[in-house]
Amino acid sequence: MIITGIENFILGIVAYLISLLPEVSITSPFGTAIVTANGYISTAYSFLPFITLSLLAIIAFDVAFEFSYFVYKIIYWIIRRFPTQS
Amino acid sequence: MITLLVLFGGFLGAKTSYAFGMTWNGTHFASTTPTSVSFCVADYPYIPSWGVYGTGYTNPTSTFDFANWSITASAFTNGTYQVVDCYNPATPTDYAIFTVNSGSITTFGTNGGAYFTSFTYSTTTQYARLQGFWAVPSDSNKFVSLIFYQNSTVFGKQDVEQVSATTTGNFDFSFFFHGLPVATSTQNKVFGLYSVINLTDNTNVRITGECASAPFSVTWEYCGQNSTLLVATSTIVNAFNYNLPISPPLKQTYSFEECGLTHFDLGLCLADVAVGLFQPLQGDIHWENLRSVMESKAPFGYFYMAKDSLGNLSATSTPTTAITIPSSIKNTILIPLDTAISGILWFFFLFNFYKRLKFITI
Repeated sequence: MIITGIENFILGIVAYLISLLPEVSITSPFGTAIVTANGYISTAYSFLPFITLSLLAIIAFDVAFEFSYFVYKIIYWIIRRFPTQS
Repeated sequence: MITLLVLFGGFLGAKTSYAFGMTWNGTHFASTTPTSVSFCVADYPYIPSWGVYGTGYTNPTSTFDFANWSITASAFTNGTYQVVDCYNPATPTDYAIFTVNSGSITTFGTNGGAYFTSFTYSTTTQYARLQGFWAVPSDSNKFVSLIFYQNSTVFGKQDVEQVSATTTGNFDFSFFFHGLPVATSTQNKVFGLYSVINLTDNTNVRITGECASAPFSVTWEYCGQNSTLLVATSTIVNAFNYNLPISPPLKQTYSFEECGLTHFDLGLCLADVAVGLFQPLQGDIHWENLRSVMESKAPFGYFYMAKDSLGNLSATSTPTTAITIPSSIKNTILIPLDTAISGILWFFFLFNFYKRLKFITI
């Protein structure tokens, strides 16, 4: 009960902070870009599905890998700021 | 990426291999023998015409060596099906049931035969492999489909996948399943891996509604009758395996002690109070609220937007630019080209990823 309450309290705070961010709009430049890109991708996918999926999977993997590595480097850098760590 | 995860997951998850099943060698079903299951007993009272027929075995009330077990298809009575119950005498709840169906009752078009030749699975990779033969019915209003799912009384139907026959010939599919909960002595028939070949009409209504997984079904739990649409010489086998030694899904394990006037223990009562106060309750933590908020807010919402867009990709959907390509050109040029170039892409990806890993400093 207590732990659940604390977790829900933290979740509530995070949700509130996120709710302050602007709404997603498909008419925004970024939203338009996604819709346009999806149109091109769906066209390519209808003709060459394996190539399309392969490219998407490779790009997604690269982004996820580099992002994870970047986060790791940041965390490692922060840890090394502690006086007892080297 | 999904492919990589599956591949990597297969390597990482390699522990003990516990796969068994049965294969069709052209004349009879032969067991792929696990060492821990040593006996088979023909035993299932719900089936009125139950029995086991085959090499070295005619008496349905005695046991026989699972390693030497085989069933000859020609011994089957047309239109009936038999049940083989295999178990380990040391752990009787660890058993498998094979049902075999054979017969020629009516035809489903002139070219509508379908049957399994192999049903195996592995809890190591969590993939079930189904091999067999199917034929596209000559009647264009009917189609053949293969449905695979894991079912249990605990979680219901999971991992449902359906594949439809587009060409006549052998099929070979592998389906992922989540793994099966360990049964207790009171729930020893809680799950199974099911694979059913259905013949349905173009309204997607099963032809024989009596069975939950009719026609061609041998799902004994639901079908107390024989299918009426079996094609001559078709033979189907399903395997239902119970109580496999794999890890159950995580769940709360604390059981509260009895704390009352008739059985009072101050320590246990205090422990119950402490647990009740501090034990996190998974169902009461509302992650979905956070997710729903994130989905509508930038920049997280754009990620979900892109994810949904990619998830809705389908070869059958209408693209923004529609160009009709003759199927002959598609089959002879586009598909081989597509496969070859995607293979080259993956090769280059692996090559460059290896080069990238060499410069990783940890």
